[in-house]
Amino acid sequence: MNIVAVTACATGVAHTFMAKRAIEDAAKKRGHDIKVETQGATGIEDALTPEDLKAADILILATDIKLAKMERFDQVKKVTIPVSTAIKNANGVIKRIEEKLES
Amino acid sequence: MKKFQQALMTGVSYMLPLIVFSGMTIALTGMIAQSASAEIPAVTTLNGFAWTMINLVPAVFAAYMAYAIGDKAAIIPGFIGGYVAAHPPVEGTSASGFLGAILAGLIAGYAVIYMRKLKVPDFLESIKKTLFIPVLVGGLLYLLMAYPVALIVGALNDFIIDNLIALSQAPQYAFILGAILSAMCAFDMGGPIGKIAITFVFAVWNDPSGLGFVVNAAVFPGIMVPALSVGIASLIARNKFTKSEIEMAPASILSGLVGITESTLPYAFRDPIRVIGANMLGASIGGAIMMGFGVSTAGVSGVFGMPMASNLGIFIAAIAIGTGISVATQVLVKKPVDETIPTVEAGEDELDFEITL
Repeated sequence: MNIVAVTACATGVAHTFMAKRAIEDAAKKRGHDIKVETQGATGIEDALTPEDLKAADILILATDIKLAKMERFDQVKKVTIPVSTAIKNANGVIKRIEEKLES
Repeated sequence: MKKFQQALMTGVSYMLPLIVFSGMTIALTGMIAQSASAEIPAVTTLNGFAWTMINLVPAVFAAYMAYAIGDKAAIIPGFIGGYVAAHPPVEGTSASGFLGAILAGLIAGYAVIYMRKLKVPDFLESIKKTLFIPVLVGGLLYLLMAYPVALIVGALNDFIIDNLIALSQAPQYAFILGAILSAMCAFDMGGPIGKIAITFVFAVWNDPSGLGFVVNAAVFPGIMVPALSVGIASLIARNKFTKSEIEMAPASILSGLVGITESTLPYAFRDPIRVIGANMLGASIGGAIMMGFGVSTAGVSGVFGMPMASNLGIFIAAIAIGTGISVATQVLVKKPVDETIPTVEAGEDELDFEITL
């Protein structure tokens, strides 16, 4: 699958990037393509481009706050989870997405 | 509820840089003023400016809380409401503080959502967006915040702060408040519970009694002890921590020193009850010592609070003792690790999400 994700926590220093790493690791381990945008303390990094979003099968929004530029994601299949869920069990999240998309 | 929590966190997220700028500027200019023999006008002016900025914190908080709920058009009504919460314009009413700012953010957000849905004739549509929403919602916020909220919540806010001041000035009880505030910060390591404690600190930050700087010092153990103690404990009791935990130890100790509690999280996720329990114990004792001795500081974020501490010896002792107790507890109660055991995963219910377009 082609997975894209956005992570954002309140402080934008630690959890945002821990969630990014957890999702990247889990996606690669399960054999998916992955790109993760972070909306941290300094703003958007590794921004998802329109091409990324067009090619994406699923968008994971791991956030505790309101995300910036949400209008980009209107036409993309997405799931929204708390940042802590992504850090604790990114593998379970992606596994569940695989199951849901198959059924 | 989830939406409310997300809005609160968004408000906190956007106001943090303002708090950091104002807090650090106040701390630095205060330090310079204390050490200089004569008054330096430029420093005094900058100090005053930083105080002006910190008084804008409730307004910025409410603005972005409203933004999280009602999007762009809610920012300014929220700002107006939050500003009124901090600066009551009507004589005889009191500042409603952060409690008021939270209300302002909520009301502004939902009022804008309501106005957007409101059907008006086509030719009025653009006027609705450019004129009605700012004037009506902004005016509504002013009226609500300046009269009922300033009267009721303002009185409540005065009551809470008066009692906290009384509590903090009675040394036989003050330590309890310090213990609670620090334990809250240690409990979820940068999460919403700790943010409530920090929000309280900023709510009383500019109180003329100086309470703000006392409770500010009281949360330092809660912020610093967790990351310091997991790092130190993992270096002492190597068999009770995983390889990656030991590798992370130096970074965690450094994070603890500069006040980034979040680096405790990986340790806490693997063994929540023992790690968080030990940290809360150590942090609350540190907080109790800090507040029991009435230590105050205007600095924020870990060691940067030290130069401004009113009693440096006790400030350091409170953190060292809290860390020592937490380390000792972890070394004692943690079980040796068998690296083959898979790490704890989130419960099934947390994965109960829907795929939407």
